[in-house]
Amino acid sequence: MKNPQIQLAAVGKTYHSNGLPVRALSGIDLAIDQGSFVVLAGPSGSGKSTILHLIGALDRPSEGRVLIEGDDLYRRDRKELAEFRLHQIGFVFQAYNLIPVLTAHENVEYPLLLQSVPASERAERSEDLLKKVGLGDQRHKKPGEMSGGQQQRVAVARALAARPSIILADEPTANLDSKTGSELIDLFRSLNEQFRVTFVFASHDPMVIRRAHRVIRLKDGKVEGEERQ
Amino acid sequence: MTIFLSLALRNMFRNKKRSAITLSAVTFGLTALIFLRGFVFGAQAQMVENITTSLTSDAQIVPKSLENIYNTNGYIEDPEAIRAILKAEPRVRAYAERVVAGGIVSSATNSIATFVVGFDPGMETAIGSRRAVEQGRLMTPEDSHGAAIGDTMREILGVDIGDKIVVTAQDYYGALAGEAFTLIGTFSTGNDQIDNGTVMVLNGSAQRMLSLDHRISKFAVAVKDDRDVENVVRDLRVRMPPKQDLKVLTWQELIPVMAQLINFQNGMIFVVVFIVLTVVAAGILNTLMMSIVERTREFGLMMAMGTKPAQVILLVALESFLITALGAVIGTVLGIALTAYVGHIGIDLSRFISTFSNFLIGSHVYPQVDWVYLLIFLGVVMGSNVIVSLYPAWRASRLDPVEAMRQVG
Repeated sequence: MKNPQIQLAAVGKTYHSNGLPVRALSGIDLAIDQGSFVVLAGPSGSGKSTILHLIGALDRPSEGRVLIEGDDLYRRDRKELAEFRLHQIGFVFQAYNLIPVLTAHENVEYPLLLQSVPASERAERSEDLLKKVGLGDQRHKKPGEMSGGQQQRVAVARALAARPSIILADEPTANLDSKTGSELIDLFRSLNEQFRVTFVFASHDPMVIRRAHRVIRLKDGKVEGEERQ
Repeated sequence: MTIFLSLALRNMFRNKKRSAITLSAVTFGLTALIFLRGFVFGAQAQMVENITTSLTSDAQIVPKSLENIYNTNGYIEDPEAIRAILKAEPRVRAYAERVVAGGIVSSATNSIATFVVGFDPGMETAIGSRRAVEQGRLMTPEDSHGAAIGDTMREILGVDIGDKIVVTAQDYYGALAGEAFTLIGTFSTGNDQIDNGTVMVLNGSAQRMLSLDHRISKFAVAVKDDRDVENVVRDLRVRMPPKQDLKVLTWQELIPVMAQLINFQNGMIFVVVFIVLTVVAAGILNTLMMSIVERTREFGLMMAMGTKPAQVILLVALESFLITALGAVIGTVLGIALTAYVGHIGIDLSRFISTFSNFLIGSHVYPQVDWVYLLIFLGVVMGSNVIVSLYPAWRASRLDPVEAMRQVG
């Protein structure tokens, strides 16, 4: 049988805050197939972001394993994890995480430069994506010159630019108006359908939850339930 | 690489105040070092110039007994053979023959110990010896019964131009010899030992008084190109007639204490370099550490996007390199300009002249840029600052992306 693209096996995560252990996740078993459009839903502190970080090779589980295509992700060293993030993962974070000294266009190009994509292709992809997120005319602006929503759309374009196989989005619509948010989800859906890119969201947004293939509900660091639609 | 260079260039002036402080530290440090070295180098050049023009010339050929310039009473038995060797050496610009003996000079009222130095005015001019008079006039080849003395010796002896002085010394055969000379002129070098203790007479007079016949004490040799001195000395050594037991010495070997003083000063410069660079490097380290703390979230984001730890190190090191390079360019230009300007007008040390004159430095020092040291300073400043940047760079590369992105930025 084919391995799921993403698999979490008995994953637990304990943080230490002010010297005290904080249990963020416990006993998470989860399998996500390639081409899924999954939302992790749950209240704040339920462990949604922690799961995204573990799938995205940003954090290490305290116990259990995270498998990508059947391969234990955390057997890799720091450099290999960076390589994995560069080629396989696109992140859209909750807050506007752009490099402040780079323009919108350069921010989108950044992962492509790390991937050594040729200049003409970089320019083409960046222009195309910025148009798709409605910022074709804002490409020369720096993050400080753009609104929060515009910055978030640049972050989305950047996550898509490197053509990752998995996109992890932490509350991607939280700072967008409903129309822009809806258009963004349309874009995600079309990429998901066209290229079988896997999307895993952490979101409260009912609009996002409504349009997901699968909703995994979390509470207190555990899977509380699951719905497929 | 291009993206990191571009990022580093833009990050350089993100915090203008901090970058200005770093830039000033590098600029000021380098300007100060170039000028300080220029001052010492200028003083040394003047000292060497004074030593070689007033005392030794570039090199000397002496009997073994005169290895040190303060020794006397040794003679070259066959100077004609040496003249032939020197005339045949194309790198030798000119040479002068000298006689040196120890003796006593007396006036009607006083007597003091002295060097009796025989010289040839024409030959001394040819090798570039500095000849100046304080009182009276310069000696000419006609002054076979004339003498010149230091102005301070004239005061001690209580004599004036035209007065008689009597010089007594041991002659070639060990007997006591003496002769009266008319005081033609006085000189003032600023060096106490010379001004208090030298009687200058013509070579012929000295040879006559000391029964030297054709013998002389030494050849002072001027080399066409200063950089050739060591080589010329080495080659002349090989050509010296073995039976005469002569030595060919550079000025450094003749006055080792001066050469040691120069080496000591050069060594001290590196102590100053170390102190200045430590302060500059500490400033850079502090700036970079603060910059990394402020940009923790950004580094976390970059790593989340797949930036490798080595690329983070490269970025931070490049930022340090660029700001240091900019400071180095400004510091070098300012250092050269300051040294050149002060070198043009000179620094008046006349208040301290009694302290410095014995080191044969004049009342004004003219700093000059030492290009070799300038390159060393540049290399050390750039190298040390890039090395210093590696620690904060490494710290940045070890950040945990999740923790880093939680930072309020």
